Amino acid sequence: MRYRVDLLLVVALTLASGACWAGITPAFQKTDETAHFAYVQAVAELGHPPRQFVDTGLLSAELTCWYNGLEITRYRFFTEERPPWAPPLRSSLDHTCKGLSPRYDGAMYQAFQPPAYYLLAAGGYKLASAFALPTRLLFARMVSVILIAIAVALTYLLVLELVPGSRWAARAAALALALQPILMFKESGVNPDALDLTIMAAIALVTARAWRRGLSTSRALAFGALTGLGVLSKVNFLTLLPSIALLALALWWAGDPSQRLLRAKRLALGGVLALALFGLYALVNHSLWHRGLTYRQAALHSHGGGSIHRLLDFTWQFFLPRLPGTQPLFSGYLPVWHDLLEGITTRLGWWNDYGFDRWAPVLVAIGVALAIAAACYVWPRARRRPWPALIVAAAAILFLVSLILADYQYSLANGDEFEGRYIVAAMPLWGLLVGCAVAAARPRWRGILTGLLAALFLAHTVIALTTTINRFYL
Amino acid sequence: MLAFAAGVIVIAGVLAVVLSRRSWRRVGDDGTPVQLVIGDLPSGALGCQPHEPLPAGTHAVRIRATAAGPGSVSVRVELRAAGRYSGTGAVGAGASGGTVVAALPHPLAAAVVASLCVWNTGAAGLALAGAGAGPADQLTITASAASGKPAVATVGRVRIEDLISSRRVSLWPILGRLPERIATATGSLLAPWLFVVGLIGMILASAALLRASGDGDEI
Repeated sequence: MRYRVDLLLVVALTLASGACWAGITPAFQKTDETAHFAYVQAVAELGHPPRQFVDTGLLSAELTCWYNGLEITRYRFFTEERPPWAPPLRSSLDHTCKGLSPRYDGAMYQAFQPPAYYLLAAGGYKLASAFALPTRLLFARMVSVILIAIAVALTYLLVLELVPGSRWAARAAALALALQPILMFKESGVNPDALDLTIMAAIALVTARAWRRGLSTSRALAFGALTGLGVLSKVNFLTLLPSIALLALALWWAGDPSQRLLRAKRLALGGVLALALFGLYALVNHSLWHRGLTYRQAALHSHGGGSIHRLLDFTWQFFLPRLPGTQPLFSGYLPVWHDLLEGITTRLGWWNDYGFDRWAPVLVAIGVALAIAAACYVWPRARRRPWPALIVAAAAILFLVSLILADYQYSLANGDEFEGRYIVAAMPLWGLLVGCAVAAARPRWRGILTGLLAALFLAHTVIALTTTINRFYL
Repeated sequence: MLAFAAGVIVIAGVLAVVLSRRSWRRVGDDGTPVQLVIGDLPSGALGCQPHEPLPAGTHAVRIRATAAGPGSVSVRVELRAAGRYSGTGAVGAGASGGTVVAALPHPLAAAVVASLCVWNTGAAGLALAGAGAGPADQLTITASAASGKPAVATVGRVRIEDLISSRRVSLWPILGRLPERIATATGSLLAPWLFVVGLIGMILASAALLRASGDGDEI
């Protein structure tokens, strides 16, 4: 039961870290936050998700008042510029924007998203309904922070499950996530990515438990319910479905071969539950909310020009320098380094518009390599079964392939737009790698190693916080 | 736990060094983006910019300008139509990184909107950087401070940043202003509380997690 104290501390740590990032970031300076918050406001004020799918650029009168008053676009992307600092502005906007309508049936370019996250965030918004809009925004941000705290707690349990008996490894995994500044900066904003990450962490845990302890009906149903909920969380979740299918296949295959039919039935039951959740959403969406059902922005429709050859070329150039005689598909950079590694470890801001210097990714690459090496050492030696960890790793690779395919489709119409934040749903794997690094050490060194890593992660966070303070407040 | 504590002490030490580094510290700016050269301010000429907002606590201004030729660079600035703050400040410290810093005669006790005049006291002309503006807001240049010739309008306004001091100072005196800046930029008084409580909670929760026993576990 000692791990329950750990769990409480992990949740407290993540809530504190998330609150710190939610508080320090100026209003609407997290990626796509304006559009996502407009969705939350529509749900809270109108009682249904937005119906206007065309991006008119319009917001509710109240949101427009605050958005313009806080001069959001004057300093976004312009690192020389600063937000307004004069205290009278806030009380002046409080007065000016009070009484303006908070109702608008649209959410810019995010209105087509499924509603699960926004329904939760609308709870935070309603809780603060007596306060001015920026405080409601902070409450909605804190809903994301709570979701991330759950995700980190689930990752702690995942590592306990996969590296059994080693609480230092699980603690190190939790610290690696809760003190990962880019993750916390992005996920402490109003953005359904937070729910995506939480659901993926839960699916990983259910899979690990089902593997170790057997695929019971309740676990199969949980697996299906989480998948169904994930599809209702954000369109990006669709790129996780191949990985989830792989996990389901692994659950069916693992264990006593004579029980495979039973496991197949249970998994089918879970699948039915996932489909039922989606069907229920489609029904409510159509008959109650009178809203179109789409998982795609009109702007994303491809103009054609794709081919298998081009796709293979695209995938090659994503990871490796292009071959002689091939057309450059990225503008002189290597996406696996520039978009993936740098994106998730060193960049802050709306579009990664500020962050760490170029030395940082090199250090991170060394850290990732060490963690992977430790994982390779630990997994074969794990007392229980190494396969769950390997399956999770394979699922992560499949997820990356799906993301590249999605990016390829997008690139045909709009050019490469891959962003490191898209892999946030796989962050529990980073926790797992760090946990393995600690588990690879001799038992008496694990506590010391975890302490050192915690100090390192804290330093990463402090550098990111001071960079953010420098960007907005100095 | 000891390893973490040692790490926290190292981080605190580095932070103290960073906070003690001296640099120019802002209290605000006039919101003019740097987009183009709006005009040249010849040696001896005076450029005046109307409706310049200056927040309380401003003791110097940083002007976006680069030397347009050889020779020394220096400026003086003057606030006009600003009541008791009228007057000319100390000579500016020369061009550095595309900016020239000059002191006001006194630190401003309250925010004002005034006409800010820049007098090029150096040998080199100054290329002023800023953005286009309508005729009523443009910076106008008089050939020399005492020539009496009519003023010539530029195409816009020069970018002005308001500084807490005409000298480079450490970050320590700025720390107390952070909560108010965070509250204004987020639009909510709750935000600085979230930040401060979160920061403290993050360190305490990390320490508590590392303090709990985890020994006796084998894989």
